[in-house]
Amino acid sequence: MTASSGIRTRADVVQTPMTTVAGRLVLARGHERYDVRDLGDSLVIFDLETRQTFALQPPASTVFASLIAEARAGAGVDQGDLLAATPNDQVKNALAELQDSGLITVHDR
Amino acid sequence: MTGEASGPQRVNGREFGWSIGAFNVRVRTNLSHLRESAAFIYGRHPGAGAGTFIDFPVRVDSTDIGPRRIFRPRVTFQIGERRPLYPAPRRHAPLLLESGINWAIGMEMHGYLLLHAAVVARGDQAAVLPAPSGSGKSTLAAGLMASGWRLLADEFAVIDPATGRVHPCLKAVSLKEAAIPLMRDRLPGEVLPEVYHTVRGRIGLLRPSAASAQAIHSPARIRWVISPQFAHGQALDVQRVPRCEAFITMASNTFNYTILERRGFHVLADAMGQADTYVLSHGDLDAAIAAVDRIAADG
Repeated sequence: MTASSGIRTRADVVQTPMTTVAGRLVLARGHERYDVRDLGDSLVIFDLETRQTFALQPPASTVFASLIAEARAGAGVDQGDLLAATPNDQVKNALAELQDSGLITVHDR
Repeated sequence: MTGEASGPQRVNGREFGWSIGAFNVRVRTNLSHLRESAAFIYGRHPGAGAGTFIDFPVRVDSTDIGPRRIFRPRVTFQIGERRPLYPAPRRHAPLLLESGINWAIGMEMHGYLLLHAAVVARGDQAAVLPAPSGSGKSTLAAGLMASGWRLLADEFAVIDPATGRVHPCLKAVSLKEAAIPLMRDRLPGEVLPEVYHTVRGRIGLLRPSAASAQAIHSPARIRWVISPQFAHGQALDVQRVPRCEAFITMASNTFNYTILERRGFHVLADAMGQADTYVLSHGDLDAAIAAVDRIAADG
């Protein structure tokens, strides 16, 4: 099952052990920096490096998914596995772009 | 083990203890008015007598020497060997005890996710009211308790990381200014007779309802997150907001989010991942209570 934003739901994640830590979605396995949780109507992302929390509601969550998809297409990565193994830099850039656009809320400690 | 609704349970001549749900408190004091106020506020709580594990062994005593013992006497709050709070006027001992226990919870209980929020419940479905001071959180929680909701907490939403459920942290509700006579009218005999004049204004202490105390060991799952915003003259406005917005509000009101870090992020997401989330702006308590009742009735 996939959420309308293109971001996988938690149920998908649980069924994909390679991309989970304790049942949670983790980006860029092996060099994880971001944890993402799908809250059903929106997303929250925790940056393990800066300890910032990002809140993405539509359209930001949709735009985020699109930006990740574009970046992955440019790198020739399989689109079927949208978030898993997405390089940290791509997520970082997508978040920065959304933040610059004022589309997301950031909790900075 | 804690007793059943025995109220503060005397351990020896100067010590008595009780459960506030998630935690057990034991107080040693030489102040008769503090014993009386604790008996009033916590008289419906389970006692915590000898042999009970105590989370907060505290002392509230007069420690002045010389003329100060007579002129403007003060009391101190002590937990272990620490005295983390400034001494308070002797008369304010009950308020100092409440503040001291709050300090201890916020500083030490990092096995839980601790939010600055009031919590009320119907059965095992909880409504969390996260808000900074001055948002009308306590008054709304008191009003909801007066209208039949079970109170779990006025100050701390204590979330168990293992279950995502909120455990009662049932202490006195701290009422400010106009809320004091308001609650005296709605809940006759439930507000401590003493009113404390502080730098934050007048403060009164409301004791939790009997029904709330009876369910003190029953945690609840977060069904609703409602951020109250009170302003005089404000028309009622209830907005459903995305969960991520409520998540940020909750994270911003979490005492130990930065301590728990990644774990706190996931505990919060687990705890409120199924909740309906709202912002409630109001200028009238009854309208706000009716709005919360409607939210609950909508399921």
